[in-house]
Amino acid sequence: MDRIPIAREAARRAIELREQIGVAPNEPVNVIEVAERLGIMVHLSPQTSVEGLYARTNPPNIITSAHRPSGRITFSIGHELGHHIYGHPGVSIDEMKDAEEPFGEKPLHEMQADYFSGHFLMPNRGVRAALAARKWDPKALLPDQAFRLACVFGVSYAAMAAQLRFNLNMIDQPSHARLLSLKPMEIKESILGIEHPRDLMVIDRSWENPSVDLRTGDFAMVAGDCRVEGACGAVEGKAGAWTIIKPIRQGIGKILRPEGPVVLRVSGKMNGDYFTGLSTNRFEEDPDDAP
Amino acid sequence: MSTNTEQIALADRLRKAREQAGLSQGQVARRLDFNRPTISEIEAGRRKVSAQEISLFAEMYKVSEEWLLGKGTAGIDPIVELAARELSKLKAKDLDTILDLLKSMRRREGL
Repeated sequence: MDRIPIAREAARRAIELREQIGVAPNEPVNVIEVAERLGIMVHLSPQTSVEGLYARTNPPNIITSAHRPSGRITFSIGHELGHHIYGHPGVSIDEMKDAEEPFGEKPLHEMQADYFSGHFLMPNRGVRAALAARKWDPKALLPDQAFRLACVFGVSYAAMAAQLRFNLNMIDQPSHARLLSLKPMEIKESILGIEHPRDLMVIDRSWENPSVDLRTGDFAMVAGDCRVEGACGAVEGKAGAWTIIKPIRQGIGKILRPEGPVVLRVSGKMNGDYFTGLSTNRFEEDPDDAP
Repeated sequence: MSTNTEQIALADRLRKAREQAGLSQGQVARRLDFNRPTISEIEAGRRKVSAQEISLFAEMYKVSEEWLLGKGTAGIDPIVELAARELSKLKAKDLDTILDLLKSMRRREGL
């Protein structure tokens, strides 16, 4: 199957959706909020065997497992949103896979949804702008830089590497293979200094997103001296010129950093259990979840 | 079905709908300006629920009132359910749970 027209059509639809919802072509998007704005019910499910499900019900529903890294959840919801945008009928179910293989050989409607997700979440102009702001050359991109780029767009390291290679053609095959030779776990350990199985979000000095969403059990590393306003998070410590922030409990607060505030939104239980339920409820403070 | 059995079945569906929505009893009590024990009593089937309260719960949990009352499953077309069962290789239990969730959802009029 010739993938080029599929990818081009997906890129066109992704741009159209951005125009429709008033998001600039270079801006990172919060895909859950986009789905909610389109009237789709998004469920973060306790079921572990479902990667993603789209049901063209009225209203439409997207279901994804909460038990996955947040970057993976983002791509899955982007994929299910693709089914919605393309008008794919009935119900589409994507099972949980061990390996992440965006843009692989699949039935047409699944490829359409994959390419849509890639272009919607990591648009050409957005990725170029993020690289330029950091003065990074994509051809010489280091693993920790690719990891930080993935953080900007809220996607996984593997999805960003695949987007740079297959959709944006910014890196060649050896560069792609070099990036994939390191596992996200190893990159997180090299950045954070300790092994950390859950998500790590890196907010560098060039970060422009107005907010960051974390789950209890994650860490964020923020450039410079920072403090947290609100009960949902706290400063855990310092690592060189970076501040480590730990999300504590569900709620909304603020990270106060030298470059300006970033809204911090936290979901999940204080014991680190993932939030499961309707996405619209995920940041609501929970009086039952007290120390 | 006796009134008591109906009340317990309703209580079970209210608890299930709250959990599906990802809300705790404390969050629900705060939103409705109820005492927290009131929600526990309702979900234990020890307190009657008025029609107006059913409507409030349904709106908050985004489920249909009919489903809460055990009168129907408006949120999913049987054809969609059949397709899902044929297509899916998910764990049977996970698929059942997901289809139950879709069945419970409130339907939007007009499309």
